[in-house]
Amino acid sequence: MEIDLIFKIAAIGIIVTILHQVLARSGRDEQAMMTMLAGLVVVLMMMAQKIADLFELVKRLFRF
Amino acid sequence: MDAFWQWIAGAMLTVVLGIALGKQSKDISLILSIVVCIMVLVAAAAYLQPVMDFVKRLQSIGLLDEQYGQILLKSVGIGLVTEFAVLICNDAGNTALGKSLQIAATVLVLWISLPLMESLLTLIEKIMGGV
Repeated sequence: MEIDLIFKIAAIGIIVTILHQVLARSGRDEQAMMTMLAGLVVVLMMMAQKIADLFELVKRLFRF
Repeated sequence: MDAFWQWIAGAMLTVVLGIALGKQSKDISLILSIVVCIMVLVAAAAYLQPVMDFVKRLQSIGLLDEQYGQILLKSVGIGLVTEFAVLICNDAGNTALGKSLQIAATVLVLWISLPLMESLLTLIEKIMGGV
């Protein structure tokens, strides 16, 4: 179980939130939204890899 | 057993981080919980391997037909993955999607079990025919 991945995702979330707040407060709403989307995409890619691993394991274990 | 404590610690950590992140970004908090769920499931699945080996032994001895063993294993696999997906959908507030997945998985398990049910029906017919 990779604990560091948990911290990576949490750190990305915190950084993205801070950037979003800073950009939104300085009036750059589009950039704030793009930062949020970029963070989401990065985290989604990490999740997609893990989901692929899970499905591969289930296929192998249950002989699909 | 050390792995078990790791899973519990990881889950508690995720809950706390999720609460901290959840106020500002619910989406990343949800993705974090999905990733940790997957990691725990993958880690737990490693302990399923001896169980699978035992099922293979049963098949090789002849106590369990290969075809029926496959049906059994596939049904269990579908059930586990569907349960996980449904709970994630519920967590994200998409109860309708979770319910649709549940219904789809039920239909799929029924479809997979058709050969088993046909064999059962044939057996019942033989018994009835004999009576």
